[in-house]
Parts: sequence; structure tokens; C-alpha cells
Amino acid sequence: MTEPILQIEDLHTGFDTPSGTVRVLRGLTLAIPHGQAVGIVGESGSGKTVTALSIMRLIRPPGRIAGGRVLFQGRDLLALSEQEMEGVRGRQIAMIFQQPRESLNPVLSVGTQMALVLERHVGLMGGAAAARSRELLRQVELSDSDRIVRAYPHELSGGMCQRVMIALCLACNPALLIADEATTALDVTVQLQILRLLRRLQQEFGLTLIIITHNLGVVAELCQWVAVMYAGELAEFAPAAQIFRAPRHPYTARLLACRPTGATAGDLPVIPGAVPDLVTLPPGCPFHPRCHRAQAMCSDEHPLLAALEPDHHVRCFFPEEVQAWTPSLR
Amino acid sequence: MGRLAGLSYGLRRNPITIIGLAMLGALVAVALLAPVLAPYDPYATNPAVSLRPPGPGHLFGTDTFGHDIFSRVLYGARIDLIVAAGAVGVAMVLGGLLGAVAGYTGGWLDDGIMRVMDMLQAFPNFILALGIAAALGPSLTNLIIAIGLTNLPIYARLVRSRLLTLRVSGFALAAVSVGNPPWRVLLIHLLPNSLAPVFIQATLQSGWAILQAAGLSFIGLGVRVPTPEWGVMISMGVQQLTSGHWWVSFFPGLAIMLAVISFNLVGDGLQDLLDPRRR
Repeated sequence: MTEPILQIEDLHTGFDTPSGTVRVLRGLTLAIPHGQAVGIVGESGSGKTVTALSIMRLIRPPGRIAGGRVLFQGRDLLALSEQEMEGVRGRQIAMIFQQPRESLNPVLSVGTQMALVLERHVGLMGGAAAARSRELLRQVELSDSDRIVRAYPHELSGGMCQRVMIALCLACNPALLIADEATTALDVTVQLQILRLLRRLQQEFGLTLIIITHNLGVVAELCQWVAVMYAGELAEFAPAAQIFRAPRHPYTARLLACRPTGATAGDLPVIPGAVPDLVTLPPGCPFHPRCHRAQAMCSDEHPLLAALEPDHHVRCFFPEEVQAWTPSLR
Repeated sequence: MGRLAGLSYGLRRNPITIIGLAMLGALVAVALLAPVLAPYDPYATNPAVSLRPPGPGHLFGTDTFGHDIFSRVLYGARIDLIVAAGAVGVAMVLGGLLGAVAGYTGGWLDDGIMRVMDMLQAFPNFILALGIAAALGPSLTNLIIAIGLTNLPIYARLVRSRLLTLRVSGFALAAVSVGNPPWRVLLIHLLPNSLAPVFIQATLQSGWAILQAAGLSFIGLGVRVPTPEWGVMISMGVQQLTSGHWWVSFFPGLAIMLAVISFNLVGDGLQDLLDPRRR
């Protein structure tokens, strides 16, 4: 594993509600290796988006980051002042969101929005900014850049808007790009194009990517590492190939089994039960009520993240056996 | 589709707005060209021609002092449009900024600002304007301030409600995530997105501002008597109404009515043009 660019240590983020604090992240620890693409997967409510927003320090009240450290290139982001953080956002860590069209200002043309970012972060004005905007748009494979800079977001398709967002993010040449469900709202062919674009940019610019998704296909397409989250914790973390070949956490195994494959006919398997209520978490392992391998101790004791192999971390007392042969899931 | 093409398409589907725009354009033209168009000095008195009925020499007749009413109605457009624009401008800028701060920051600042707005709105509009105008004393500037302050809560509420939805919008989050400080998000991204309903309201409100200005001047709390202002002119003709000299009050009244109608037509039209869901 290469040197981590981002290290999340024991991160706690909660939301204060009348019925108690919803502890969405409960001691999340995760290291993002430099220059790699890391997929964060999990069901809705597992804390994927809150992880991204916590890294960017975009958690708004009633939410708050209650503890932990987020070390980015050795600097604890949680200890920075709000002004210092404004310099990190966009310039060092950029983020794209699920709804590309809603992420762009509807009353400003694409060119104006790009110029605003370039002027603020890179100090480019007027003609220089316009030229750089066109160059950035070409980098995200929007060939008709002359038309696009004059266009307003409503005149572009969802896929084009997402490319513009990516171009906006690239404007400041960040080291880390977080994509929160960035392809979920797009249709499948466009999804694939955007994923390929992200992969190309990752390789070309040495960008580190955090891909947040519930779509395991996206992870398989793009990511070198996979972090599986469950109830605000890391359940399993390993190289993507290893996770797909031999998942060790029972949750990951069930998650992978739920993927539709071309060959299967009939009903897809499901994981019985639902994500636990984060206000009243079950004692012990949060997954034990739904787990097919659960034993008595799982409901009493909370398992710790353990390295089964140097790069393969699993939070389970009774991890899945490595099978001699597993059918390919791809 | 270019912007102008879009505008003309919207207008063609809405002929009433064209009428409104034409009326408003005529009103503005009259206000600008009053010195050229008016046959007489609006302040010139001439006892020899007092209370003449409308006719060839004096198109709208004359009042007790022999003022030419046609000239005074033309000059009145200037004063009433200045008051309307000034008052609506004051209300829009101050109210808009207060509402923006309230809606964007939330919390105690929001509560504080909006409770003051509630207090302002708890008074009947005209009574409040009357109180402020009485306290400040009659003058054109004070008239603008009084009407501006009474209309301020409308814009504060309007902008606040827009910002409550805009501040949690995707592009607000995206703007913060590329490193914008809060004031930049508010001024560059959120405020421009809340302006369409503000402009609609401002146009509709301009008609009301003219009514209020005329009303305050009518009861002596606006501009003073010889000034060619429509409300003042109506009040100058009130005593003559019973003796059959209807024209002294009638023509300024007609002017007020046409001005208010033109603002309302344009305001309604703008609403249709700027809000695609109502097309």
C-alpha cells in the first residue's frame, strides 16, 4: 500500500435530533492511498455521504463532527480555521455531487462559473481565464467548448453538467477528488463515459479518487481499493480485486451476492432485515441481527478491525473462509 | 433561442402585457418629456382663467388658481414615478438584504429581523406610512422613506423564503465545496437566484406606491400644495366637486388609475415571463 494522502482516524459525526443524537459515523478509521481510486460502498444510511462531507467539513447543524482526526497530507483538517479550510476546499480537495445539474448555478453561464473559480483560486482573469476554461472543458471531453462556455446549465444534459462539474473541480488542480454518487443520476451509457473519464484523469494527473457509491459495478470499473461501510463503521477494507474474489466480512459477501449478473434468472438474493437505527444500535457487532454467521459473542462484544492479511482489514469475529474457487462476479 | 427571441415569444403569447408595457412606456416618456409636452408652466397661476372647463385652450381645464391641469398632470408623472421608484428601491434593497441575511444565517439573527418585520406588517400599511410621514414631516424625500419602510417587510419575507430553499440547494453546497466563503456564496450565487420574484413584486408594488404617495399627499402628509403631484391635485379639487367643477380632481385621478393599471399589467406579465411554470 502506497503512502496515504488522507487518513481518517476515529472520526465521529453525529446529528442532534429531538430523539437523541444520531451517531452516523462511529469511530471511522480509513486511509486513502495516494494516487489510487478508493470506492466507499454500503447501503443507504451507512454513512458514506457523511464521511465525504466530514472530510470537506461541510457538515451543517444539527450535524456536528464530535471527534477524531482527518489528516490530509499530514495536516489535521478538523483543526484548521474556517478560513484555512476555504483554501483547502476546491484547491486541494474537490468534490462532485449526485445531482450534476443542481450543482451548477442556474443563472450563470458555464463560462462565468468557471471564470469565477479560476479567478478566485488560480488568479486568472479575462482572456486567460476564458482560454483555460476551454482547455479544461476539452480535458473532460466536451469538444464543443465554445458553445458550452456560453450555455446555461439548463441547456446541457446531465452528463454534460457532470463533466462541467469535473472541469470546475480540475480548475484548481486538486490532489484529491471525492465523487459522491456522481454517476447515480445518469443513464447507464453516460455513467460508463464519466467513469472512464475519471479513470483517465486519475492516471493522467495522479489524482486520488474517493468514489462513493452503492453500485458495486462502479467500484469494479474504477477502483483499486474498496471500503465497505456498515452503520457508520468500516466493515472491510481491501484491494478491489481481493474483495471481489474473496470477501471476508459476511456483510460484504452478502452484498456481493445481491448483485444482478447476466447469468442469474429469477429472484435476486437479499440481505434480510434493514440497516439498524443509529439511535438505538444493537449491542455487539451492528450487523449481527442480519448475519448468517453470527454466534453468541457477536451480540455482546464489538469486533475490532483486524488485518487478516497485510492489506485486508475486516471487522468480524468469524470472517468468511477463503474458498478455493469462487465464480467470477464480474 | 436567444434571449430576445425568448422574450418576444413570451410577449406574443401575452398581448395584455404588451398593452401594459406600452402604457408604462408612455408614462415614462411623459415624465421625461414633461417640459417639452406641457403647454404651460405647471406652477403658473392666472386668476383670469380660474376653473375653466376642459376645452381647446386648456385641454383638461384649469383649477381655482388658474393652473393648467393638463400641464400639471404631465409634470405629476415625474414626481409620482420618482416616489414610486425611490420607495420601491429603498424597500427592495433594504428589505432584500435584511431577508437575505435572515434566510442565509438563520438562528437568532433571523428571528430578530423577522420579528421586526412582523411588527412593521402588523400595522395597516397606510396607517404606518401615515405615522412615519407625520413623524418625519412632509417632503418628497420623507415620502419616499415612509413608503419604502412600510413596503420593506414584503421583500424581506420574499428573499428570506427563497434563501431558505436556496441555501440547502446543490449549487450552494457545490459553491462552498470549491472554497467560497459564505459571503461570496450569498452574494454571487444565492441572491441573483432569488431576484426574479423580487422584480415581479417590485413592479406590482410600484402601483401601490403611487397610490400611497397620492394618498399621503392628499391628506397633506406628502408633498405640499402647489406641487404638481396627482394626490395633491385631487385634494385641491375636492371642494370644487360639489359645485360641478369635476375636472380639477378627475384628470389627476385618471392619471393615477392608468399608472397603477400599467404597473399591475406589467407585473403580471413579468410573473408569467419569469416563472415558466405559470406559462
